[in-house]
Amino acid sequence: MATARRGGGGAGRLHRVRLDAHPNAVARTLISKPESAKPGEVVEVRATIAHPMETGLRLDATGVAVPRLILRSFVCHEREQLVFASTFSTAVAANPSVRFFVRMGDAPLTLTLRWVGDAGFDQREFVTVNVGG
Amino acid sequence: MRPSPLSPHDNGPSRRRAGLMLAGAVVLPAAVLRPAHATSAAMQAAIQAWAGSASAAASIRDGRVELDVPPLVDNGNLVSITVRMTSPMTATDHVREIAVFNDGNPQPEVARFEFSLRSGRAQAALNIRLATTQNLVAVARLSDGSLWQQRAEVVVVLAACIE
Repeated sequence: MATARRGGGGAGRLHRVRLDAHPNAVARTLISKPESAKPGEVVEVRATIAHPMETGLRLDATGVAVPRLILRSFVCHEREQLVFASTFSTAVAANPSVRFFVRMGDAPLTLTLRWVGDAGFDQREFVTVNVGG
Repeated sequence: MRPSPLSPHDNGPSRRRAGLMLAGAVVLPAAVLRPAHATSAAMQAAIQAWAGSASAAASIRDGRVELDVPPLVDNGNLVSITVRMTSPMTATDHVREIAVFNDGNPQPEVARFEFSLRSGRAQAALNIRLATTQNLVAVARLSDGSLWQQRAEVVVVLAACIE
């Protein structure tokens, strides 16, 4: 399994980022997928993103409700074709990690992973899976 | 070989009726027993909204879809769940969507997973939070419109949402 990382950080550790302070800050992601696969093979992709998934139901130390700040959806496209989509609620844990599958075609996979959430959060990552043995 | 009681060659009306009554006797107790599972009204309402109508929600059958969740969870802040359904994932026979609901969190929805032919396999995993010991239900919608559900009870030792 190859792992694509973004946002720095050592050894793939995920750190919480203050997205309320910087709504368009780039969140750290960790994407696992095979380097290559045979045509027709079904491959597993695991996509993790650093996000607090604040429910909006908690109170801070002063008794004031912490505003909701969640990711609402995760979508994976292979070029223009929808592969997999997930809708999140406040019940999804911090640093959502979603695992799903993609069927290989005859051509290498070019996957676009997109997370959309509160406060204008919209982030895309790109990974490829080559055709091979 | 003796013909079966419901074979098309056996067209006596009384025997056919007897066969239907027998079928009813087998099916009815299952339908009556189903509401005995404790599920909150909020979760049922969310499932009905997702299914599209009360009649669609009533057509949900038990089985086929699988919901993997640990029966005992130490920390409700991080619970890994997996949904899956065995399907050829062809144009005529595939899983469109699996949605997960709960009856113990502040909101009844957990997550939805939409699949496509390109998914190849109707399986997905996600890390979620559970506020307390409760039931989870996964409901799957197939390409033929049929709906299937699987229920799981989870005991949570340390609840989420408590600082």
